[in-house]
Amino acid sequence: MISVVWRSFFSGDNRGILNFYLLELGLINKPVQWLQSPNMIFWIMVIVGLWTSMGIGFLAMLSGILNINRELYEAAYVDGLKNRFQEIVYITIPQMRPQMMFGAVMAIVNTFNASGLAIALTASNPPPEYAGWLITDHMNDFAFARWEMGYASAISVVLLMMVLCFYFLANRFFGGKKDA
Amino acid sequence: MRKEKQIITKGKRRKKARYFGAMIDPRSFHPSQIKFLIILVPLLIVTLLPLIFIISHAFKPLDELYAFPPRFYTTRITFDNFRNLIQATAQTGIPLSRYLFNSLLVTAAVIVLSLLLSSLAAFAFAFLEFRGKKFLFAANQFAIMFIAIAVAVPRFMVITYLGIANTYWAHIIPLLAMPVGVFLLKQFMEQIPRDLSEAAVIDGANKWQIYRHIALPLVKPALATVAILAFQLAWNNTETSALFVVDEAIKTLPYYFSTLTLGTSAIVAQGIQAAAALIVFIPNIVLFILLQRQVMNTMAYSGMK
Repeated sequence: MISVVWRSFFSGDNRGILNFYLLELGLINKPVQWLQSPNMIFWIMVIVGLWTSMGIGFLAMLSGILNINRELYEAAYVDGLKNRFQEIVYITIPQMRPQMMFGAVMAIVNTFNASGLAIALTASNPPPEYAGWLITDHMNDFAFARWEMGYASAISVVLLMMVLCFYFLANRFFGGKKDA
Repeated sequence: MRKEKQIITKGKRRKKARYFGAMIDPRSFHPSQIKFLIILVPLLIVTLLPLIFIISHAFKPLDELYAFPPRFYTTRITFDNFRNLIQATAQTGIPLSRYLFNSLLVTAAVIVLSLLLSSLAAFAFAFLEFRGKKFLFAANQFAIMFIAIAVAVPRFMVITYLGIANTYWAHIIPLLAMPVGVFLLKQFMEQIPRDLSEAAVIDGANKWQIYRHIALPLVKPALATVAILAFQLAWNNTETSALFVVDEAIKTLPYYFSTLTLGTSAIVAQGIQAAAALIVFIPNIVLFILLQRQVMNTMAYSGMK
């Protein structure tokens, strides 16, 4: 539903806010068709996805930071911590790792779940040249438009494998060490 | 906080300027914080702009929707878009109130039932000892990864074979399994001191009573959080309407809104879409603001190890 906003922001006709300001500033000479261009739609989807994902993960990490034991900082300064940067690298990040893991998992799940984003943004199904066509869109198309359930199931198994790969990757970064 | 700082820096003045550790969440403003605000305020604006835009967009008159130069705010607030929305819904044969009722019913059922199921499962994970507990919890962790769209095909099969396609159950049952809810509630319940439940056992409480009178009252913040998650899942849900339900009369409000503008002219559609998006969106933000404190409280235990 919120794609109404992004559509008018990136629109190529005279409603397009981004085009208007870029023209005003003289950065471009003629309106750019952001949404209809197969090269651009992908990056716009990334921006929209980023904006959408700044919810639950952010909250988790914020409360992770706020719940770090303050005495750790004192102890570290006594042990010779020198500046704010070291504070972040050696204490804050290791301490909020579990919450980062949760945020990462939520981000992975939500991003893979974002089917139909390209359709909503370009207002055409399929989007021009299938740009921004996600694996979930592909699966939906084969399952519920062409009714090839077998093929669609195969895709969803592959998709789950991909999600699990990302999960293990995230686990390597943020999980693992029990003492951290 | 200042007291803390003084205690540490007493005797070693040299380090005073460097010690910032206890100032993560300062109570007051200090000029040295300006550098953070320079980064944070633009970020806040970027995050907020779409929300402000959707609100002002919904109240713009038609000529301002297409005004050049385009602008964020509106100078003349009108309810034209909402009027057009109601007009457009009047033409479809099924009144708007029917879809609203459907959505409210489904959302309420999903919240109540998923809270019940999630809290019961979490109680078992947190308080009871049984064989295969570790395995089942690991399975729950993996189930968080099983994104809704990837299991759409098996879901469709299950719903067809159960014979609940085209009923309200087709909206409710697929959303009841909330592994995230089980996870958050379990993490929160583990913070409850064992002494409490042990004391209850000594006083003769059985497991149901421990669940009712000890676990549930103490995990209220987590319940609120899971309620928000369940609400967002159910209220914004268009998938079950698109896939499992054919009968127009039992489809949900967001799905109806997403198909609404297909028939009308493209010029009016802009305003109608904005109004519809606002109607769907407002309950999300209101609920979140009301329960924000509880959410923050829960997220402290969201860490995955």
